[in-house]
Amino acid sequence: MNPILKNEIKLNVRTSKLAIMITVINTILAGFGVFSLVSLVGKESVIDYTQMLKLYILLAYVEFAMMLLLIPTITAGSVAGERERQTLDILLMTKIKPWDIVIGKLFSSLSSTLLLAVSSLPILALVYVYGGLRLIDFFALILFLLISAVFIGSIGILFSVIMRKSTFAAVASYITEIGLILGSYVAVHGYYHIRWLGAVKKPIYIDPDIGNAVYFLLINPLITFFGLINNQVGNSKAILNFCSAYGNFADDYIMNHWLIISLIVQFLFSFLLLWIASHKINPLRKC
Amino acid sequence: MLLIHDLYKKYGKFHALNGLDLQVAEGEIFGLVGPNGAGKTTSMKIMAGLLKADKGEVSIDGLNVLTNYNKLKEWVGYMPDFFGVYDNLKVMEYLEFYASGYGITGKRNRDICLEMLDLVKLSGQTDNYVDQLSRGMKQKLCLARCMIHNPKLLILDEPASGLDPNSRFEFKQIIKQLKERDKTIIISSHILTELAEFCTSIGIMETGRMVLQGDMEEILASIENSNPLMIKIYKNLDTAVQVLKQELMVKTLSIQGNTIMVSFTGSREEEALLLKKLVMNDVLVTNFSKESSNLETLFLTITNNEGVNW
Repeated sequence: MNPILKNEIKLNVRTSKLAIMITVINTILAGFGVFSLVSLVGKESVIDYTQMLKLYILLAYVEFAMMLLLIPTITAGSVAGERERQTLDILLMTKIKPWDIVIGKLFSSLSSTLLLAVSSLPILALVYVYGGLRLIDFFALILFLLISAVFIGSIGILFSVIMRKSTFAAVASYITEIGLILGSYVAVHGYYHIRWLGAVKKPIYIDPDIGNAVYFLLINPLITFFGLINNQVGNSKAILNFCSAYGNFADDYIMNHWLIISLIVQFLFSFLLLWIASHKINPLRKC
Repeated sequence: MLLIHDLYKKYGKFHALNGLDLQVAEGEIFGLVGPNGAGKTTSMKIMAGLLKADKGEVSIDGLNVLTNYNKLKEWVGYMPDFFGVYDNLKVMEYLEFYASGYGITGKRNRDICLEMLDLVKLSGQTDNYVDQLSRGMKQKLCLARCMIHNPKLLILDEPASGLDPNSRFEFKQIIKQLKERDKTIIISSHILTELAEFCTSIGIMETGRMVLQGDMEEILASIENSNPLMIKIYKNLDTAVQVLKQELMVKTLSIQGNTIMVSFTGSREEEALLLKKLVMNDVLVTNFSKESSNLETLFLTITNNEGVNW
């Protein structure tokens, strides 16, 4: 086992931080769940089973949002925290390879998130009790959360390596995260708008098509999450419908396999970010 | 063992190292001394492979630090001047973690950790949390940590700073024990007399350069030889001055009351002959001795740029 990961897990469980975090987040999730359940059942005690899926959507989004909020803070403090604690030099003197340090730090940070995701499964299972979802859907959700967590976490790790203070690293990670989620959407929409402004000036108006530029959204975890959840509750064309606003993608291969391709893209980006981080952490790097 | 040639390092406009040259032989305990900002920590970090020099070469046992970094990690143990510890780890766990970082696992890991704790006299602390240890104990734990992989070369950056006299004494004893284990040790301090007790050679750094380097015994002998003679005269001061002025080995004279300070280049025997000559000329002498000075005086002289040549 990676010594960094082993050590960090040991350190994590010895602080009350993790227990408090799991309690608070699961309480929020449970609060949402029970409140929504009561609202959906209503006073007549008649249950509309299709409404249960709305509860699943709500809980999944809350969990995803909390992941987006938590991971930058946790990962940003990983390497920068070692530097602040003045333990990084000592760590770099060991034979642990820079890549293993980075991976150990990432997975130790994500272990808390994974623990959180698993511990919240009973709350998500509220929906499972009433039917409408398959067990595999829950695992697909966990898998998605894990890959997105690796992606967001890699950004945090990179900034944690580059910046000297964990506070600055966290701020930079949040800004990048917002850039990924809102920025990629604004970029695609902005590009479409520029094309549209050109189109309306022409004598014959033809709907603009931004073509391949729409694939920029593959790096947006929120769009992919939106596609996954809609797919699970029966709307498999959600992403296609969303992207149709920017062109005709009906027979597009990437559009029809958006979920898997987006996850692969996120995974590759994660790998690249971690590789850069492992290069940067090496004190004798050539550049 | 360690060879540093023409090393330069700049932080912004500040030149931390200005062509540092240094040579440390195997088995030596080398004391690196210099005032704050002389470049001791920077040079030690470069030796340990934690910092890249702008120019120059560092090699350990003939291997360049830059190109053989992974190999050198096995050979070098480094204790930084400021270091942190993982407060939520127990003493044993702390060492076990670093031992695993060097690929030492299982029973061997535990055995080595126990041996190191025994060496630094922390055997009774294995189950205590690191944050419960005193500063001195933490320093010793850090020393144990940097020896966990049995390195040939130990680089210790001000290891005894901030310790009380008892802890300093214990530290010296540990260093002496390490010497018996044939370790090559480079130890920095800004307190020269402290190093004089156990170092075999010293180097004095000033503004990123080595201004004096050599064998400890030779340097101490040089200090002794270069000190001025202090002659206290009871009667016939003028005659004494005349006699001294005629001596070829007397370079300079200064008179303060009835005391004459003489810069004398002769041997111990020639000193005795000079005293005899004074007495033969009816000069009554109450004191005839070398002025007492030590490494600290030397250090202050050199670092105040008073131009001492050796």
